[in-house]
Amino acid sequence: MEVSTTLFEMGLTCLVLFLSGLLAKKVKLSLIPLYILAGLAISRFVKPTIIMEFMSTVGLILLLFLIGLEFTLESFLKNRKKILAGGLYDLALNFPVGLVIGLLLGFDWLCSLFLAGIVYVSSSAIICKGVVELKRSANPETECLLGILVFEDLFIVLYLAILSGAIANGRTELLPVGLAIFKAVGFCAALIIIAKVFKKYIEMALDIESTELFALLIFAIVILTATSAEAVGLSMAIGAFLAGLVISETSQKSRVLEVVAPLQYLTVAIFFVSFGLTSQLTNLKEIYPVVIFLVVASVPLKLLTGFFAGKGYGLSRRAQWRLGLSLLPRGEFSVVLATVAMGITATHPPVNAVTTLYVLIIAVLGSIAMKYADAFAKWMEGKKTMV
Amino acid sequence: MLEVKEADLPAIGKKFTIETEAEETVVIIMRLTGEREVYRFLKDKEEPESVTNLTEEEARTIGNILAGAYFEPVHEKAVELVMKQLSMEWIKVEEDSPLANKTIGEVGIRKKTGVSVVSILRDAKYIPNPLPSETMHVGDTLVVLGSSEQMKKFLSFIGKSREE
Repeated sequence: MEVSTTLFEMGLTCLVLFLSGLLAKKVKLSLIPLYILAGLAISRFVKPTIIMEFMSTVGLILLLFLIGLEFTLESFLKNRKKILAGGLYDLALNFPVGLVIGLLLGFDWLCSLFLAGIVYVSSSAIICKGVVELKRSANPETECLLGILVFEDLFIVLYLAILSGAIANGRTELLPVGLAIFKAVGFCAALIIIAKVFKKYIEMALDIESTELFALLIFAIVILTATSAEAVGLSMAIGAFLAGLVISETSQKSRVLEVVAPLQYLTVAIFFVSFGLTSQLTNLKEIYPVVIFLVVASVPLKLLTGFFAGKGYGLSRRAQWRLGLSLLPRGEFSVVLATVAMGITATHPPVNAVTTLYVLIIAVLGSIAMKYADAFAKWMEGKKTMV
Repeated sequence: MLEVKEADLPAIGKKFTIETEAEETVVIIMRLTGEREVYRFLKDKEEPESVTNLTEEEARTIGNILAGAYFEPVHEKAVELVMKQLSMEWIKVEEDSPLANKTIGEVGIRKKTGVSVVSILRDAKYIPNPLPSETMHVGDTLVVLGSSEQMKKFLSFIGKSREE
């Protein structure tokens, strides 16, 4: 009886997801805000179950695994100068705002640090999709834009590792933070060294003809790396990301993407839905001024990033505008951070609800800004010459 | 040598930029998904004049056409393609040719001259990578590839000097 009810709810959830996906296609929006919205919509009828939580955790793991898989350390090292130049402007300008607002709101340090990350990190998923769909891949600002995103992703993974390490040590006291950094960096370094040293053997182990066995091995690697990260007191997300990083070095990358895809579609969607589902937007009146303030404060800072980073890149004013406007959307990583933050304590400030509303607004607003970036940049330029 | 600028576009693919003689910029994006995008920018313009999306297969076909592999000569004049020291010739097999009605292996084209027959155009048909057992009929057009040195040998072997 229990199982069939849960299954029924799961089926219903998938149907709602499908419909919201259709809607997203129709209005040409990213799937992420629509999935979260779907979660909010069904929260009246569907209660989060342990199964949903399980699926959503698998989704989180696969999401980070894919981000790791797409992340090539080699390309990062090769372009590190360019990536660092833009990325550091972005970090310096956009990181403090969430932290300050969090502290002003009376959040504790840990929650404020999470909020800082949530507000800082742009959505690689939404932005990359936008770049391709709007046919901007060849634009002058795109290299700089993608460089910033690579920097952000790497920064956030390390940041998340350190924060989650601190959580597992209880509260953020000085010594555990030092320990957390040590643990996080140690774990990442260990896995990367393993990947480099045993590259040949990993390659050999993955050289399996049967697709079925291959898929099983991949899932075993991903899930075991994720849980071992948790075992040493880090977030599972870090383990999954590193597993992706290790496998991205092998020649089997495209095959991995193929076998993971179906489960990824299902579980990642459920990850976003269950985030919406559990975000409890009941005290909307209390949080919406905060969120509006966050939006108003964070938008100009990303635009400034566009000017500074773009200038360093030798971009024209118009390309700088496009760069800044393209950096606005937040998405998957903000949700990941909020989900991990939610794992801390039950009585934490409403980081989750704030993130839900913030991501919803800025993902949609950012997508629109990206779409009309060209027109807007031209208009601003025209206005300037008129004056 | 033509300068091709190469750049990584993380999560999207690779970007190749070529300035053409007509002062246009052609940007080719090789997506990680295998798709290609071809952008054409006019001089000093930031917005592309045109964008073409190609699947992998389309890109290969177009690439072959651009490289000259599909070119079917309407008259006898040999078409010459020189890439560095490589040269490609389209040779029509005539009645008095030493190649006429013999197989490639029989003549020993590669052994004697060093060039390879990379394809044969027969009527409207196109035979890529012909086997040594393939017979060269009168009226066939051979696509021959080799270094300039080897090509000279081959041309003199079939009794033709290079016509410009």
